[in-house]
Amino acid sequence: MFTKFGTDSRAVVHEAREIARGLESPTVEAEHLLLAVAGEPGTSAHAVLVGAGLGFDRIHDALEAEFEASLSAVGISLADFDLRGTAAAARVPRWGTSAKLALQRAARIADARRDRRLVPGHILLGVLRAPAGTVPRALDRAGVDREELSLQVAAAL
Amino acid sequence: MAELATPSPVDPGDGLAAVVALRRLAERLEAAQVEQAMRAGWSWPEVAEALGVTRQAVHKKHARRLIAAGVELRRRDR
Repeated sequence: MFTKFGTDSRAVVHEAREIARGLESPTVEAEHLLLAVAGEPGTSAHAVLVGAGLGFDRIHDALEAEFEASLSAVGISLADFDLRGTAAAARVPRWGTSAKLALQRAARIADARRDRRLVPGHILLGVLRAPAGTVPRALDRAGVDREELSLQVAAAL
Repeated sequence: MAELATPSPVDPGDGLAAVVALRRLAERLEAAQVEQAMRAGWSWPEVAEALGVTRQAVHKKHARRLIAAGVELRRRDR
């Protein structure tokens, strides 16, 4: 069975790429999908995130905190680097592995539920159920109960 | 800044996340440094040689971004 991407999911995928580009990432990663869901109002997935206090800015802050903490774990302080004034990437970022895996998980979840359309909620579940990586670490660090959040997202599908 | 020794994370998750963060930092640092070099008048072949990559690679990766930022014209603060 093949699940079709709904219009709102295509918007999330497109927005994730724009967010990655804006953040000067050479690749679109799972965290950009998460930010895209958080930044596109009007979906149940967005409502669950906002209801949990996870708006775009809070998620972005959590990701930055994770970035800084991971650098400091090997003795590097981000504050020592002057990265200002860098021109935004003009190149369109390519799809990174973590985003591909999240979308594959999303499709499998939609498939298992026999949902005909793949909606942002499936994408969000695909991101939240990653066993490891930047998103789980950032959310854990921010004190988010990923399991509880996943249940809420699934219930709102 | 590292003090006496570079700490090596005990937890594998922390260690692997540090690798991811370092790659990301390297990308951002490369963008900033290439831009700085070009603003200072370095040529593409010089920047490429300094980075240890081909001229084509560095051009493909950074040219459009820097042209869009007006680097080749005059300094423009963003």
